[in-house]
Amino acid sequence: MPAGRHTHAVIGSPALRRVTETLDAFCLEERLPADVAWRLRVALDEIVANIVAYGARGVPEAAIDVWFRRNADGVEVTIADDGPPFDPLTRPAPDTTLPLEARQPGGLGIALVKSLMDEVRYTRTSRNILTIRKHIDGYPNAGGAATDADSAE
Amino acid sequence: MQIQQSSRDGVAIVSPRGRIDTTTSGAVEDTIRHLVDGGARNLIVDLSGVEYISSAGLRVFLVLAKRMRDLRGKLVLSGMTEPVRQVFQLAGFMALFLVEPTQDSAFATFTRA
Repeated sequence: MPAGRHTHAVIGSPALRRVTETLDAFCLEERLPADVAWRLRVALDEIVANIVAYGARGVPEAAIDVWFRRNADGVEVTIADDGPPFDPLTRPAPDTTLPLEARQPGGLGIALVKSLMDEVRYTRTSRNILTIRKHIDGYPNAGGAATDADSAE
Repeated sequence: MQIQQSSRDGVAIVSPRGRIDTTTSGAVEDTIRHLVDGGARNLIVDLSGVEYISSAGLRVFLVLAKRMRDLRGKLVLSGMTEPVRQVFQLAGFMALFLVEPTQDSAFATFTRA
């Protein structure tokens, strides 16, 4: 198993803080380059805030799990939630060329995730599973100490 | 998230520091809204202390830009860090804002007018 971190939370407003804290710890212990760290932070903010806002509809005790892993050429984050089936990648991209008066604030989040990551993949099992990957140039392939920090609810 | 406010010859300057994301964007929005409610029509938002911005923060700036246009005010963004510049660019926001490299050059756009 590669080194990594996992966090689990019931879908609700504290979930975002929990995921952010775990991501910060992961960035620190893996010494991720600043350019990769901020991309991950924006991507996770978009994805988790979206799940918190819409993801738990009608599903009591719906939870979110996030796994952070580094691999040979970069980092991979998997976000799983118990909400109703929802593939964010099917949302139409907003028109980013419209003038100010025609701009609407919605829809930018997932478009940003796609732009900031090298790969974004959605699969549906009994949960929504979104996997994002970011390649890191010259990232060392050597194994590090596994820290299986977990903060289960 | 820290948000500094200052004023220079009638230009209000807001300088958020830290991350502008889902958790913090409300505080940025409240601070700026309060200033504009209080009559500020010449405004610089100095982004030189901002680590990154997510779409929650972009929404704040979009709403602010529309409001300042409706009020015939002037908004200039200054000191964008590389992550902020990249997100503005990806969102197509660079065309919607007056952007200056530094707070001083932003201020100069008010005195030149």
